[in-house]
Amino acid sequence: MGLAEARRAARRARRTYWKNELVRLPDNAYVVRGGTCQFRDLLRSAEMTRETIGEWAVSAASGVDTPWESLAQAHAHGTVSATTAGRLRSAGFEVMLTGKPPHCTVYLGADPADNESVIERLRAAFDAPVPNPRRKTK
Amino acid sequence: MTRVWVDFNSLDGEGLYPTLQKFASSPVSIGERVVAFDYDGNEAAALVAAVDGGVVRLQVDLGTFREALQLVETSRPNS
Repeated sequence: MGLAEARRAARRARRTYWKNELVRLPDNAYVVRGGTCQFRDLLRSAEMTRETIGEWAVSAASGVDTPWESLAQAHAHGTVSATTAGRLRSAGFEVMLTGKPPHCTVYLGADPADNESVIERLRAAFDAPVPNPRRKTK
Repeated sequence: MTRVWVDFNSLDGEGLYPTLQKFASSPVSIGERVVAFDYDGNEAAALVAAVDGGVVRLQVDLGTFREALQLVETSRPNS
């Protein structure tokens, strides 16, 4: 499964996810996850999201024309991992703004428990983790 | 105290962090105080706000958030 399935998942979720309008992000939008994208965290997050909204997906922060440093400050984590919506799509995923800003959802389109390469592709789509700029302002 | 794995990125529309009962070190119930954690080594105190079947929703006290001590690279994300 790839981008097409991920997009179908996003459309299905449009009908259910917190009953809010979803916004498809432009390719140049930054997508920032708190933490270092540990394999087990991503796997459990996808499993949890499957249980709660019925889709294989993980959460992150994003926004149109929003600097990655601003998105990072939405996270309590000491480190953050960043990418762009375009890189996630190139890796076969779909990403939409969902719920309360800057929350976004990265739709995986496949069960990562059956195919560990899904999580590895997701991890590879992010840059190496960096210190959260929020730490400087504490 | 019971430890419950949570994705600190995943905040629902009511400000709660959803997780699963099976990710708790022992079964939790509403009103119970727990320690929320992730595999980066981050931890925070939390209160079980809701239990619906296997889904648990935590009210996390981010004031107690303890960051993992990690060495990280300092490269700037690329567009």
